[in-house]
Amino acid sequence: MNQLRPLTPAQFVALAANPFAVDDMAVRPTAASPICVVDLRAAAINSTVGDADHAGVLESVGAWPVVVVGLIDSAAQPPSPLVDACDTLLGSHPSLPAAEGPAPDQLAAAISASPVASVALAQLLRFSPGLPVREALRAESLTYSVLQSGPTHANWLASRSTIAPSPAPSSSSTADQPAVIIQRCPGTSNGDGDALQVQLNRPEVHNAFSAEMRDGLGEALRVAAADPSIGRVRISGRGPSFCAGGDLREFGQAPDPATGHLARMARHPGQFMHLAGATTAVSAHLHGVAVGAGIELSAFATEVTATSDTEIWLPEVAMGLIPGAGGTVSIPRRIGRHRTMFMALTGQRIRRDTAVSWGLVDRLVQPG
Amino acid sequence: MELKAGSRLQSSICDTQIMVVKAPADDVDITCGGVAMVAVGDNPVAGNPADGLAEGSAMGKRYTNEDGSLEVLCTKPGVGSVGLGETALQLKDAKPLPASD
Repeated sequence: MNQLRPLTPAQFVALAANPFAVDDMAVRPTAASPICVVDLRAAAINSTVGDADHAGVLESVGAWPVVVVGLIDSAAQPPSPLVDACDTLLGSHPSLPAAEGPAPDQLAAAISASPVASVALAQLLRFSPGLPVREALRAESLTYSVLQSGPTHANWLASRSTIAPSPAPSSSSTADQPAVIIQRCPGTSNGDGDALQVQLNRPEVHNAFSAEMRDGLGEALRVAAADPSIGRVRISGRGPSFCAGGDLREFGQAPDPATGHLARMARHPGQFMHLAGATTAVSAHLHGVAVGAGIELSAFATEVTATSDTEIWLPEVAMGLIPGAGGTVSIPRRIGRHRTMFMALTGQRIRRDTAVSWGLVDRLVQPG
Repeated sequence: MELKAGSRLQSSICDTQIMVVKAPADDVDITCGGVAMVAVGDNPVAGNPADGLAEGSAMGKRYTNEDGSLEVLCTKPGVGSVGLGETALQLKDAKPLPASD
């Protein structure tokens, strides 16, 4: 079967009803890209059977060990259980890549390069957006830890020695300063409470998100959650970038993936973002690169701003992992799971107008 | 002063504010810079910390007494040290976590 030749809606419904479908998709190390493309464009939909046959598809697809890619053709397409059953969508909606042209091949190539993580992310996002935040974070962490022991991540760790070492400390090094600077500022007279200014402070490494930075941010966010006289939290990054994502120097240091899961959940910055946001207006102010943890944590904020030079992408799937700083929780809640999957699978940089139209960024600002 | 978890106090001599995380059953003489702390919002701030009680308090850090029966979170930093009477509380370092990546 040529997996890139799209299934018709009728074939998709029949496959979902076939009790042997998952057996036939069984994961093999040598399997071709685990992708299933379905043509859900209006012409294809109109020629198929009624909606009554579609209701069970979503439930059936949940366990499929393939990424289900739907081709759609316009934003005006009526909602359909078949569209909902897809993991990601390609179509001519202005904010989605085209169904024609390179996009399906590009997705298939990304999935082939990291098949286990791609499928694990698809399976996670089929259920976790319906969970409470705390539980969705736990599901993300469990999936992440499973993938830490997977083949693609092992290869990535082994090849990492080719990564350039971090810059030597210079006279401008901030190593003797805290990784996160927290300042409490008096509120304005209209009683909206004090403001907490939180600055990520490792400018020489684009604020790579280290354990030290995680703990500093956690301290700030826990003060915000605990103290009702704090009305606002404003998170920004010092130097050329907001945050370059997880500190690559710290990868491969977990004693084992299971212990890594427990450690991750013990002091989860996404959980602290969520708790602070429940009582306080939290804003994140992006510039330069906002990658991985940088955008994942920001997406929990009440408001996200970005300067026009901001570059946003999710690098984890290519490393054999999934977003692990809460991104599978925060980002689908802003832009939906179909677009989250597209971002995470392709690792593509998201253009600033796209980020705004999707709602990943709330507004663009002038560099300050 | 009787403390309860969640009580918010301010220094009488500096900017320090704290929230009580864990309170002992008995009344305690909680101080900052050696002077009794008060409920947030009470009294103007004046004076200087006593000698030996001027290490200061740091934002987001937790402080505890020797037996761990009292634990407070600094929600606003200042130049005075939080203490019980004339004994400063100790900084409570967060337990080191194993790496997760």
